[in-house]
Amino acid sequence: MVIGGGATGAGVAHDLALRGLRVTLLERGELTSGTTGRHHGLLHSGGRYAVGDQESAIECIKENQILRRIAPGSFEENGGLFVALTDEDMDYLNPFLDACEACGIPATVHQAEAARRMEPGLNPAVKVAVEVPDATVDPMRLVLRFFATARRNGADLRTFTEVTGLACAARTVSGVLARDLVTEREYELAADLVVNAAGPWSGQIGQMAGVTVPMQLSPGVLLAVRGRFCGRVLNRLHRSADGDIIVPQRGLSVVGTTSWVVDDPDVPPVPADHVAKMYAEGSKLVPALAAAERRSAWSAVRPLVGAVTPSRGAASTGRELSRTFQCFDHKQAEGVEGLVTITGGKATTLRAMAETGADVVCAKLGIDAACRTAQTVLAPHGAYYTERGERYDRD
Amino acid sequence: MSAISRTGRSARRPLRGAAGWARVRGRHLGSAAFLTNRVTGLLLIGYLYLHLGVLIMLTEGAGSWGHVLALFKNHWFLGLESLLILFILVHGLNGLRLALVGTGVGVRHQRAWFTAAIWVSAALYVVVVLAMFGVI
Amino acid sequence: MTETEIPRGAGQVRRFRISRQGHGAARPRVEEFEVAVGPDASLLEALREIRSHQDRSLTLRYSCCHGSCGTCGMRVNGHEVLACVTPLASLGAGPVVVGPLANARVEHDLVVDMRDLYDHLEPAQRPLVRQDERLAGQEGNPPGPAFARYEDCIECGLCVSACPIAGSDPLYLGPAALAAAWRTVQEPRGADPSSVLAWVDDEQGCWRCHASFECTEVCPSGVDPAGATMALRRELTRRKLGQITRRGRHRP
Repeated sequence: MVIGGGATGAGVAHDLALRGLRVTLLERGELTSGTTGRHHGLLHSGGRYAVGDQESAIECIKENQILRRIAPGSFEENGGLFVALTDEDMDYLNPFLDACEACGIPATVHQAEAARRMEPGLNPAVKVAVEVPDATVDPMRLVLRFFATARRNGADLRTFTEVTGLACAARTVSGVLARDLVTEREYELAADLVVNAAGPWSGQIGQMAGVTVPMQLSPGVLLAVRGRFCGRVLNRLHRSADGDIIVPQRGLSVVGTTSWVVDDPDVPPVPADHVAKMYAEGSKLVPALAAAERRSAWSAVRPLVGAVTPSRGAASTGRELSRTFQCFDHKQAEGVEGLVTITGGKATTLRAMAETGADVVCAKLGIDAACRTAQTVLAPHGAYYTERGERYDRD
Repeated sequence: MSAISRTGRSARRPLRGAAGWARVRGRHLGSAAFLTNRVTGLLLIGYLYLHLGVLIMLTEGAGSWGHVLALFKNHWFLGLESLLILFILVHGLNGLRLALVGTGVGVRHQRAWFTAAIWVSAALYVVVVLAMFGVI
Repeated sequence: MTETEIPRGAGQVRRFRISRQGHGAARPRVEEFEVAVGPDASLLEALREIRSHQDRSLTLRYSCCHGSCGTCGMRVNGHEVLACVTPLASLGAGPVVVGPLANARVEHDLVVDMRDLYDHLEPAQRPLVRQDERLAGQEGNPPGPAFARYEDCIECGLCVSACPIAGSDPLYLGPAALAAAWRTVQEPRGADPSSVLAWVDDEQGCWRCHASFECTEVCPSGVDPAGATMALRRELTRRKLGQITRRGRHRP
């Protein structure tokens, strides 16, 4: 029983279904509506984390290559540039190149003139640009391929089904209490093991079994403007900061992002000054962006794993926590059997997250089955709608 | 060959019959053209029946001509006849637009063509009415 | 920002008349809600606010919040729109009437069954990614190196909802499928354009269109399904005329 229909749930459902388990997934809204669908749309090369978070960077580049293999034709594969505009940026160049090499991220240096030829919209003040294998990904459709494949392999995917409680007796989770929002009926489902993949709501699900999931909810604002101002992803060559990346997608350019901390994962605000900052920072990379028409501005919550300790003093921006994922077997920490939480991570590493989580699930259930997701080509996203298989039929 | 039969699920879309196409709210100029053509088309079909009716009157013998001519000179009837001509103009000129646009010619200017068709119909309608009532 | 509490901007209170419909119900009922929203808020933000903090039984589809996933299609004040890119400020001052897309079965409230749309799209064999050369603001300049981008169509179903023929004929392929077919014919990328042309050359295919052009008017992504349908007809007409003028008639 997987709770959560985002990237985490998709990866886990797909992996477990491939290993032959009978998977039921519950999602309270449309698939990827929680937070996954709202991410920037970047297939990370890992460049952004190479200097500050090598573990993340290595995960990223490895998964970047795997995803291109298992989901061919799902990306705008144009690469990305890390662009140096100032002398301060230039100081970052060598550490950046060294870190990329250490992490196995292919990086090619282009001088100013070459960079301007590659990207005519770039700020003319560009000094140097480093090419990395970034790509644009359609946030929902890539994940939908995982769901479509899981369904093909027998997974029962139930959208608009909200988990209202966990059936818990004698410190063992034995199932879930669900409310079907479409038929407006409530029912109970038994499960050998419940996987909490609810992203920003993992804490709330954990509470239903009396366990704590150490999380920090960190939203960020993203801005999409009309007009595609670059062919490839553009990053600012400096330490991670607000508004330092433009991801083109179809006829839009998406600028992001900011970072702060909230308690409530539902409907985080979209502060106007953050949006203004996206325009300001984005137009440093691409001057024409300043006059571009706003298509949409929204916020998405990052489910960061781990709590910020009180001794840190000043309030957290959320950028300090590692973006790697964690898998909690609640039997070990709190003695609650039958529940596993997988949280944290980023969209690019969904498959790896799922592999780790699925390994834990299989170990707990005593199932000996190897992970095959790195070799299995995924079904097309439309198959989620066009293919039926055995599934829960509301009619 | 139709892919519809392949999936066999065509009946899911709710069938609302005539009401399915007669939506006015939130529509644009192209829809106005479509609706106008459909309505004038139906009215013209109605006219054909009327025409048959008049012809049947004529089969009633030599004396029936007098009845028919009297009918033709009635002002209300003339008014209806002028409307008929308007419908023929609109339906015909829009029909020309559809014949061209509908085979991929001048699609970009489809709104302009419809506007032109309406203006030309209106102008010719005025001329026809004036001629009908003996003004010109 | 370093504050942990971002105060919501003081905006205004908007009224919404939302279509509510139970699963399998014959007709919908309308429920009124009031929400305080910021000046730049989108319709989707208001609906999510209603769903999260006022009535958790309200069901609606959404995902990307920037017009790329195509899931938040609905009819607002009679117009087909994507809720995520519809600023409330553009909807006038009065109550906002929200209802599900037309020409698709309503599952519950604002959620419709999208399976028909995907069933019709599948035979078009259109791949997800295309090659495109020009960047914004580059008009008049020589085109830069070709780069890959997603097809414009985001499978939102607004075109099908707006189409009067889709509204009265369940067998019509529909504007989305025809637009997809034209893209495959223009840029096959390994698909077979002849089989796709044969598929649309049907009384329920591209010839069923009555040129209302609503699909192109409502498309949020610049696909121009009407233009695509007419282009398919032009291509088919050209091929048939070509067959007639060649020596002897040859039927494929």
